[in-house]
Amino acid sequence: MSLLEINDLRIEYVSARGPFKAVDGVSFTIERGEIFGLAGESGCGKSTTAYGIGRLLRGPARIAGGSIRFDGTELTELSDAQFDAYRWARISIVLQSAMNNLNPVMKIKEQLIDAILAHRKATLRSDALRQAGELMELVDLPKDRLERFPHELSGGMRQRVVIAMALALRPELIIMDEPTTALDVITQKGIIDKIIELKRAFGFSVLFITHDLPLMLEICDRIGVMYAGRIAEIATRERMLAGARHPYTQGLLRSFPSLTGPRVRLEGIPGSTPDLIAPPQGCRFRERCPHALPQCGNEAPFVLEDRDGRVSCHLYAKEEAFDEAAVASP
Amino acid sequence: MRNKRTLPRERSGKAKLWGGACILLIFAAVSLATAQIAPYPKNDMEFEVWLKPSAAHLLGTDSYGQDVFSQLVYGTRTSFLVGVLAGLITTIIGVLVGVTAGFYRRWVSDALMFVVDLLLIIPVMALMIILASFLPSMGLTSIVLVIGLLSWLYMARSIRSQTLSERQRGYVEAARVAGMSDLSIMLREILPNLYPIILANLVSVTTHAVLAEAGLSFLGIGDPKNVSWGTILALAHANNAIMYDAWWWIVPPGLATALFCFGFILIGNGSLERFRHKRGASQQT
Amino acid sequence: MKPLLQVHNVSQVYESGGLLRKGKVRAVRDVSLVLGEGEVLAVVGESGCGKSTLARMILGLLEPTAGRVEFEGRAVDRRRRGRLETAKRLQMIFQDPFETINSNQRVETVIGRPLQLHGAKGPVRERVLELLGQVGLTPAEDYIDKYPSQLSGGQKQRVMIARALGIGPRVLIADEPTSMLDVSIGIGIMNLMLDLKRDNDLSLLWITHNLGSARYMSDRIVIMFGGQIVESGPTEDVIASPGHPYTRALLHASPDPWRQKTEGEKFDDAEREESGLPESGCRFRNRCPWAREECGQNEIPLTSLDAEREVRCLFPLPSDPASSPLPHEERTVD
Repeated sequence: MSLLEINDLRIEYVSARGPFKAVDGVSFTIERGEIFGLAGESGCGKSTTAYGIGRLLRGPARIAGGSIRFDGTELTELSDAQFDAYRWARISIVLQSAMNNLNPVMKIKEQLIDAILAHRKATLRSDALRQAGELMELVDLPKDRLERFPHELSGGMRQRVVIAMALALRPELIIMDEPTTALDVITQKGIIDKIIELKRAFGFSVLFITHDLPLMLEICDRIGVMYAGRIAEIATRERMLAGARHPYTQGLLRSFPSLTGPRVRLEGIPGSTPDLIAPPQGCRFRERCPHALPQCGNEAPFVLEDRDGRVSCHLYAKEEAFDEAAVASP
Repeated sequence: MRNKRTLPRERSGKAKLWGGACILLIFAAVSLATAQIAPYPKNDMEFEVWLKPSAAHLLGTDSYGQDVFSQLVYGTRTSFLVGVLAGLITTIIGVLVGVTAGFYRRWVSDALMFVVDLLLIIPVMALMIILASFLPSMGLTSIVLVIGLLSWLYMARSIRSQTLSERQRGYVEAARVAGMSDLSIMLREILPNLYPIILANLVSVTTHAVLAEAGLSFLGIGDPKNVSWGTILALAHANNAIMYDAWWWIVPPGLATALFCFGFILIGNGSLERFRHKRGASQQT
Repeated sequence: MKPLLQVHNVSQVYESGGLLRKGKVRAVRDVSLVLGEGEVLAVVGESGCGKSTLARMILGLLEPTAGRVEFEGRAVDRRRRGRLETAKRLQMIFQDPFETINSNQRVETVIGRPLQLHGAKGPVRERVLELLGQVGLTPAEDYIDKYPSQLSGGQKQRVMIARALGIGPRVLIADEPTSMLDVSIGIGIMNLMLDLKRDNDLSLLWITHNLGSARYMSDRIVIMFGGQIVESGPTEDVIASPGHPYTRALLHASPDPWRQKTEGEKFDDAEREESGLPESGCRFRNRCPWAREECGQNEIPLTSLDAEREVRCLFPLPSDPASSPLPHEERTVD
C-alpha cells in the first residue's frame, strides 16, 4: 500500500463567476521513503494540492471531490479534531515563507520546545529541550543557536530550523512547498543535500513542490508535472532525464538554460494558461502545444500508463486512434 | 482567483457612486434653487407658532412662527457651501504640502509633523470655538476658513505618509530612469496613485466641515443672520422644542445633515471600489 | 571592441543605522568594468553581493561614494538636469514588472509618456503601436488601451522593455528581469532582449544570480562576491573552468541534473554559511576549502589568468578541476 494515494482530487475557489477549478482531477501516489516532486508554473495548482493534503486551505477554497488516502485512512472524511492527530505527528509541512514566520520575539529553543510539547503533551520540559538539541544537530546547527532569536540567524539557518521543527515528531510524510526558493543557490544546495541525507536516515516520504524542474530532477525519485489544474505527466527521474514525454514537460525542460553542452536558442512556451473558471474541453495545453492534433480540442487526452509513469496526451494513443482521427477530420 | 472577488465589488461600487451622486445632486439643486423651492421668504416670521406639519407648512412652524421647511431649504445652501468650500481648501493645501513633504522628506516634513502632532493633543472643536470667537464677524467665510485651515494638517499628514510609501515603489525609480523630472514624477506618476487617499480625506473633511459648521452654529458661534442646519437645530434646542414634542423642528435638519454626509461617504467608498477594481490585481501581486 | 560604458573603481558605503551598532556597510568595493559596443556582459552574484547597487550607480540613481562612471569617455551626469541625457543612453529593465509599471496608466501612457519627454511631437500612438509590435505584443491594438492589471507578468515586462526601447538607448541594463516570471515566459523575455540587442545595436548589461541565464545571454561574465569582482572573463571559459573557488561553488550548487558531478564537493555547510564575511583579506576565505594562512593577510588583488581573464585569488584553481580535489580534511580556517 502506498503511503499517500490521491485520487481524482478537486479543489475549487468560490468566485462570483463560478467555481475556479484550481485542482481538477489530480491523482498520484507517494510510496514510503520516496521523494515525489510536483512541478509546474504559477497557478498550475501544485501548491493548492499540497494545501489540500495538509488541510491548510482557507477562505474561498474547498475540496470539491476526490479522495486523499494516507496510510489507508481517508483524510477527507476526518473532522478537524481527528486530523489533528495526523498534523505534524504524521504529516508535517515546510512552506517557503516558514523561515520568515518564526516568532521574532521567542528564542529558537522556546519555539522548538513549544512545537514538541504541543503534540506530545506528556513530554517533560527537560526532555523536550534535549530533543530540541538533537533536532538542531540533525540539521547541522550548533546547539548554541538554540539561544538565539530568529533574526540573529541567516535565511538558510532559519529554514534549517523550520525543517528541524518539521522533523520533531518523526512524521512519515513531509510536504515541502518551495522550501529553498527564497535562498541563494549555495545555501539551497546545502539544505537539499541535508534533506536527502535525513530522508535516507529516517525513511520519511517527501512531497516536494517547486517550479525549478532541474532542481527537482536532482533530488526527486518521481515527478508529477502539473498544468492548469491537472497532471500532464508523471515520470521517474530516469525517464525524465532521458527525455520527457508530454509536450508541456518538454517545453518546460527547454526553458532552463543549461550550464553545459552547446549554447542553443531555447524557445520556452509561448502563450498563456487557460481560464480555470471555464477551462477548455479536451487537452488544456493544446493552445500552446506544438504537436496539437485535431482530437486534442474535444476529447480528453489519452492516458498512457506504464512502469515509467503516466502521460496524458493524444500523441501516445494507439496507432489506430491516429488513423481514425486522420480520416475523421481531413 | 482575485479577479473573481472584485467583480461584485465593481457592481456595488457603481451602485454606491450613483446613490451618492443622486443624494448630492438633490442637495445641490435645492441649494441653487432655494427661492423657487422654499414656499416662504427667508426669516419670515409671520405665522402662528408651534404649528404641526400641514399642507401649508410641510414641516410645521417653529416658536418664532417661521416655516421650518423654508428654513431647511435656505440652510441647505449654507451647509452645502461650507462643506464644498472647506473641503476644497483643505484638499488643495493638504495635497500640495503632503506630496512635497513626502517626496522630499527634508525639513518640510519634520516641521509638518511637529505642527500636526501639536494639534493632535489640542481638541480641535475647542480651538475652533476660540478662534471663531476672536474673529470680528463670524460670517460664512470665516467659518469656512477656520474649518479649512484647521483640517488640512491632518490631510497633509496622511497624504505625506502615503507619498512616502509610493515613492519607494518601483515605478518611481522607473520614471527616473526614463528621465522624468521630480515635479513630473510627483504630479503625473505619484499623484494619480494617491487618488483613493485624497478622496477618502476629501469625504471625511467635507462631512467634518458640515458637522463642524452645524456644531459651531448650534453653540451659537455661527453667523446669526445666516440660516444653516446647525442654526435651526440651535434654535430648536434653545427654545425647548423637545419639550413641545416639536419633532418636525429637530428631526429634519438632523436628518438632512446625516443624509448629506452619507451621500459624500457613498461617493467616496464607491469610487474607491471602482478605482481598486480598475487597478485590479496588480497591486496585490 | 570599442568601450561604451566604463566603470572606474566605484564603491558604495552605506551608513548602517541601528541605535546600538552604528557601522558602515561597504556594499560595493572598488568595482571596475567595461562594457563594449554590442557586447552582452553578465554580472553574476548572490543576493547582497552588490550587483543591484552597482546597477543603480551606473544609472545615476545612486551617487558612488568613490569612483566614476563614464559613457563614451564622458562622465555620466547624475544631476537632475542630466537625467534626460543619461536616460537617452542608458535604460534599465527592472526585476519586478508588477512594481515598476504604474498601475494607474494605460499601456499607451506607460510607453508614450517617456516618448513625449524625449521630444516626440504630437500623438505618439502610432509609435507606441510600433514598439508593442517590436516586443511581440501583437496585435498591438489589443494591448495599447489595457491597464496593467489586465496583463500577465510577462506581458508587463514586455511593455517595460518597449518603454525603454522607445527612448532609444545605447545600453540596456537588465536587473534580473525574469526572476519574477515563470521560466517558460522568462526565456521568451531573454530571447526578446537578445533579438532587440541584435536589431538595435544595443549593448546589454545582464545582472543575475543565475549562472544558466548568464551563460545563455552573455559574451563575457563578471562574478561578484561580497561587493567585489572575484572573477571575470569570457563566459564559456569561466563556466567551463572557474578560477575562483566561489565561482566553482556557485557552479557546483546550480541545479543541472544532466551535468557530471564531482562527488563529495561540499562548500556549503551551515556553519560556513553563517560565518560573516571578513573585512580584510579574501572575503570568501571562511567558506573556501582551499583557504590558507596567506589569504587573510592582505587585500587580494585581481590578477590576470590570461589575456582575457582575471581572478581575485592567491591560488586560482587550475583549468582541469580533476587536478585540484577538495582538501576536505585540511580546512585551515574557522
